[in-house]
Amino acid sequence: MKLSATIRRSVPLVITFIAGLLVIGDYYFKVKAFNDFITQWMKFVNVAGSFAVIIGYVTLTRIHARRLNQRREGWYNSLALLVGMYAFFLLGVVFSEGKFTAHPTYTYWFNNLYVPLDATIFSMLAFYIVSAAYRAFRVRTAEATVLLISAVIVMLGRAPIGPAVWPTFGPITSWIMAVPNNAGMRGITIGIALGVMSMGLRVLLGRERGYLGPGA
Amino acid sequence: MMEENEMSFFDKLEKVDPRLIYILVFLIVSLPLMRPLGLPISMSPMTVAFYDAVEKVNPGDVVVVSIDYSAASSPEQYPQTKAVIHHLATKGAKIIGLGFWADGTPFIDSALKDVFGKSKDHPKYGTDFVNLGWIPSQEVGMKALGGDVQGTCPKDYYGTSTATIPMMKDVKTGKDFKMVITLSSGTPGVPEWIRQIQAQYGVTFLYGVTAVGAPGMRVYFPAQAAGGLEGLAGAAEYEVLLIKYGYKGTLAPPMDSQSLSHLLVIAFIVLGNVGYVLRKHGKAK
Amino acid sequence: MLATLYMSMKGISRPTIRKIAGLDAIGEAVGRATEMGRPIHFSPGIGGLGTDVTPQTLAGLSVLAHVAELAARYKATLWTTINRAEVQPLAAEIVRQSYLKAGAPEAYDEDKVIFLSTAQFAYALGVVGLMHREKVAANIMIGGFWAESLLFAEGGYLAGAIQVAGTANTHQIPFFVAACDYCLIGEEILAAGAYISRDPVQLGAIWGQDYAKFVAIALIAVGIILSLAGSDYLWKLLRGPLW
Repeated sequence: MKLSATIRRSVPLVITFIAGLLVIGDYYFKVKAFNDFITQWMKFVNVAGSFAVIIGYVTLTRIHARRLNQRREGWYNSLALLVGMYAFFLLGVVFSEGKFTAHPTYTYWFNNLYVPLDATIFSMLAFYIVSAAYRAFRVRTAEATVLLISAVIVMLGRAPIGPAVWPTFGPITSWIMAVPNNAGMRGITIGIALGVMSMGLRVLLGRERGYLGPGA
Repeated sequence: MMEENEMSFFDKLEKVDPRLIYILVFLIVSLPLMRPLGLPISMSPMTVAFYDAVEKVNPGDVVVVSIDYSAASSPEQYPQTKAVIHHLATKGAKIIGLGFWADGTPFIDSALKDVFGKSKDHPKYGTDFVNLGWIPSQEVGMKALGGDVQGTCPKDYYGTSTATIPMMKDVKTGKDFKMVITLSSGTPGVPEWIRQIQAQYGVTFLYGVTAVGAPGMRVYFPAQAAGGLEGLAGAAEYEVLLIKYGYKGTLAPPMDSQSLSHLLVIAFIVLGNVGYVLRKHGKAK
Repeated sequence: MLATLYMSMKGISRPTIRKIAGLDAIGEAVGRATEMGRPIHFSPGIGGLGTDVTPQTLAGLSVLAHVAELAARYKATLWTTINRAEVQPLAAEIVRQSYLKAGAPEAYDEDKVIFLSTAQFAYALGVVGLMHREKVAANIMIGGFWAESLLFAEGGYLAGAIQVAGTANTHQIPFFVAACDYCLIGEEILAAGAYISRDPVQLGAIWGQDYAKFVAIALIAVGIILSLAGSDYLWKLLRGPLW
């Protein structure tokens, strides 16, 4: 049965509105039966959310199997991805004797293959931070100079070398983090929270429909 | 002719080849790991506050340790994890290990093995510590956990029903947590825990984050968070404080690397600015 | 916020938004890519949909619509990389509609809206590799970014691209500020949709946020005065249950 466009657009908006009100109400109203219902509902959403893993698997398989099939440029990378993805799946589900990711073989490959690979890419940031800081930190304006000086003080204060050379680096660093840094961060955090609240309000009222997908 | 050479020299100061920078970073970071300098580790007030908060834990208090980081930040945060679990174990806390990051969950099992020697097979598993594994759906999962712990985690990481685990008998909702410690490198992490558990149930809350996230998390101290470990430096400082409990720290050499790499960054910044100022001065003339 | 939304929607009053240099620079970036005959790269971040970072992803997608329309109009190649499976069809449709709106539907290539990986650093490497292979001339990143932000920014710099970036994740803003040519800080990305489209609903929402900020500032000022006077009444009121 094909639903009309109006129903296809309106029903999700109504569900969103009611669901949002109920979850907000759970925070403000302490009525046991209502709160228990919301708790059960959250558990249901929790279970439903874990199916997102399957969506990721299916989508990646579809995309990379097609690349492999069509022998597109870099198809061997797609092969490596599919082999790795399904090898870990088999180790963690099929051949894990019911222990899943607690199985020693899975843990071995996780600790000795996945962890070093992931940590290596993250460690590239160390190199990039130095080159970015070298390029970006110029005393072009008074504000940039203040930023530069405080960055140098905090870098020295947060590593052992700073307090070893001059013990006062520690307290100065703590003051910079506790006062100017906190002031700026709190301002930005409040602004972002208000922006998110505004977006949430628009979603509840059906004025923001991007999450519904194309054509909404 | 002389002026042109000086100008190009200043340009060179401002435009050092990135490959040279990367080689120097590699050498500066790796050499102290082989030959440590032995620089003393100073204390941050955030680490001291974290330590003091855990010191107030009484035997039998239920403490949740949430591993909310991925393999990428494990070199920075796994040392925090081990130190925290060790400290809680010495205080006699009942430790609930769980996580909201799928690829961080294996670290709970590893940390329990590193601290207690065994995890599931340990005689005190289920009475002194338990591993509830991964909870999906991020912040929604946290809300569900706060409302009904056993309903959200019907089985532990090893497949045992949580209803049969002795220490979970009296842990029903977020109200039954004495303390929550999240070790987090992103989202879901500190703000989500504060919104869903700390603010709702008034639980004592502590965090451990990567150094990058530290400035942003300070905003929650001291009203929502009682203390925090900030990056590898925070873990190293915490290890020093745990020496009295017989904890053997391993972070002195990496902290030496951190010291030298910070000096390298400062040196390059100064170099770039010297070139910039002298070039501008040359143009002004 | 409700009041300002209503007033803006009904045309009773409509605010103007101050200039946001980063958003104005997007046109410049697309133009530069067209002149150089090199492609543009766009990323809406790794926040996905269905989390508290969804607003950032939606903000990124609204900027994507604008970038795609400009790219279609100037006949520049646009690569869009996606980290979340659920965002990919949304982004593909947004780009397709934008090309249609610009009068160049035949130029739309669905293979250039790529879902790379849900793994953070696998996605990061995929993006950096693409930027180097394709030698992108403009790199635009608006959305939720985490540790991979500096990898993108440095990768784009080494590829020789002009970079416009924005995120509301406070811990990554410094990296974008340091490494990119233009940076949108915090809620500027949430205002991006309103700035570009001039949609009354979005403008009204931004207006309401500004009033909410006045309220927050007033509460902070009152709180400081009460704290100095030794009273924690306001603190307890805001912290505790309402009843």
